[in-house]
Amino acid sequence: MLTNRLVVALLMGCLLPVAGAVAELPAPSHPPAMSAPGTGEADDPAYALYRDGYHSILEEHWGEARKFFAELRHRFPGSRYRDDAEYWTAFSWKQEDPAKARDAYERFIRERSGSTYFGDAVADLRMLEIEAALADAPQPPPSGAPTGYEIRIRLPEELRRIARDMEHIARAQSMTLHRNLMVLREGDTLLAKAPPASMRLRLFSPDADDPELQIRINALDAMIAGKRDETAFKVLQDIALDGRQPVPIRHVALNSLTEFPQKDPGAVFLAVANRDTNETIQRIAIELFAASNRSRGDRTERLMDMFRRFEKSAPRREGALSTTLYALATIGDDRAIDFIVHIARSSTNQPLRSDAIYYLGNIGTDRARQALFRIVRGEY
Amino acid sequence: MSSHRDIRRLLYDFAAGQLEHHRHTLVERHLEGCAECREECTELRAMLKRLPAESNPSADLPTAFWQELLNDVSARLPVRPKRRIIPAWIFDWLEFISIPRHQAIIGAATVLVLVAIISGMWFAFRHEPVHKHIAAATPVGTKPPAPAVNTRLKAYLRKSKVLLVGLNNMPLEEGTAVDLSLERTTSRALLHEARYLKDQPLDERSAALISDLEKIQIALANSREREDIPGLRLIRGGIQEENLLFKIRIAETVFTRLEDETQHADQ
Repeated sequence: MLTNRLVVALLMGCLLPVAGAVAELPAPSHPPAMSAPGTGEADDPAYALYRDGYHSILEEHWGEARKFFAELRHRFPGSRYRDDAEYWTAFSWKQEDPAKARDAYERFIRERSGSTYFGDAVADLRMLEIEAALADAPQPPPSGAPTGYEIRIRLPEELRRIARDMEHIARAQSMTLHRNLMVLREGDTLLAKAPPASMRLRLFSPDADDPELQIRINALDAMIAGKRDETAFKVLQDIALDGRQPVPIRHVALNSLTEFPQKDPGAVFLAVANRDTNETIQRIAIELFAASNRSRGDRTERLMDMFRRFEKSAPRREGALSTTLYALATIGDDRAIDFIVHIARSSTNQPLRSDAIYYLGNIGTDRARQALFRIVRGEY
Repeated sequence: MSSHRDIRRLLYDFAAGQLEHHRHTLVERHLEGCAECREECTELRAMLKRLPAESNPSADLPTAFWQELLNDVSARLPVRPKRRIIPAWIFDWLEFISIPRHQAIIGAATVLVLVAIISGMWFAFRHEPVHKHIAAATPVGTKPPAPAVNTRLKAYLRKSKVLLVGLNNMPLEEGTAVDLSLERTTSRALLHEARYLKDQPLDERSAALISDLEKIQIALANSREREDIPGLRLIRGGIQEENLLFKIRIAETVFTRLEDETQHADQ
């Protein structure tokens, strides 16, 4: 219960002493950080230490990084790089000791709510809690419906769907590669030459053993690989819209429409997303529309309208609602964030509220950060 | 509510015939003067007519189209080696080796030839690294390759996140230049890793994310060691425009879940 923890922490308002004695510093493993005279960097004597620490983080030398940042905090407690040192220290613990990381992140969130790293810290802490929750699985079912902003640790259902989807695709590809392709050996590692991106989806078909289906997928593949003209686009469009076609074929057709740079498949995606009776296809179309080449504003507004339409539809399309919310979060522009905040504040659908807060915590822009902070403080 | 943007939002409902009278009239009026909206509306109407499908539009295409398509498919299918009739000299050879005296001679010759081949191979390949050898064109073992790529992908995403979080939180002061030497070096290493990963079996979401990240890494790799603020703002804009940190975090969460499921399955 992240939000509860945060609220409690904020109410307590206690300041914990910064832990960690300053140990002997390691020699930097790179040339000294360059500071130009007259720049902001040169004005702050902590800058070189910050860059050394950050370099160690980039190199994933976690212990070394912590030493640089501890030195920075000790020698320059008022430095503008203090937030950086605190955040990256917590981040380094996240890779090595989740309990210490949790303490460090909670302290950061409590003490440095105005920091530009606030959203990043919230997202990292959320991730730690999810990892802990997964490690302790199976979780007991929640007793009764949660109230207010009490949101239990819950991975959005949408991400579970994506995880399943990714696993299927990766497994199908791995098997296909294993069966058919040349394998290169590098030491003990097998390097399989993967197909080009355009073929990836075509390899994924739950009915891959159906020869009839396979030949049609091959036909689609041949068509995309050939001339990408008006006729090919129209055929794909027809197949995508044809509810009688098998789902894998429609999936491939929908996805292939994005491979025509001169064409805008937005109208097809919109029509399928809004109206299709097959939920799998509908959700694919929603995601594809969100990732299309249309402007962010256009995508955001269409998806918001779609969400409202799904909310009113009877029976309510829960899967489509959840995917639309996720799609809006992936766009993450200001209007999308405002909309997600609105759902987090006032939706009567508790899982969607939880998802909305989860997404806000992961977007990390100033707007999302401020919204999250206001939710935490109960200002909404 | 009559701006072009507002009308565009109503187009779906208009095309679906779901707008109340006054809004319907509003859209109609707008369409008279706006070719862009008219075109989109026509498209939407065409799509909606087909959902749910009453006929199979693909079937309306001429037979010649499908024939051509199938020919194209056939041309792309791997060509299997033609079955050859066993030539007569093989039978003569089998008859020759069935004589015991000939077998001894053939045995000795075979040993000599094998020794020559092995020595030749040893000399030829002793300086070549193992990884350049094409090991096999057929499956190795019975299990599919281990998901080592997931570990590398996770590491790639973690490093990319560190890079992006660092850039996003870098304090900017107008009129100054920012030291991007570390970021440049890291981006170059990440680009190298991205090229490797893109050749691996990936799902389409991960592949798309790597492509998006590559754009930022290319911009950073080509930036100056001391970049000015507008240049850095441009790169930051790219990160925010694509919402890359969100996408990385979601991918990390999904991978954590997958790992957790794999561990539970193994147990």
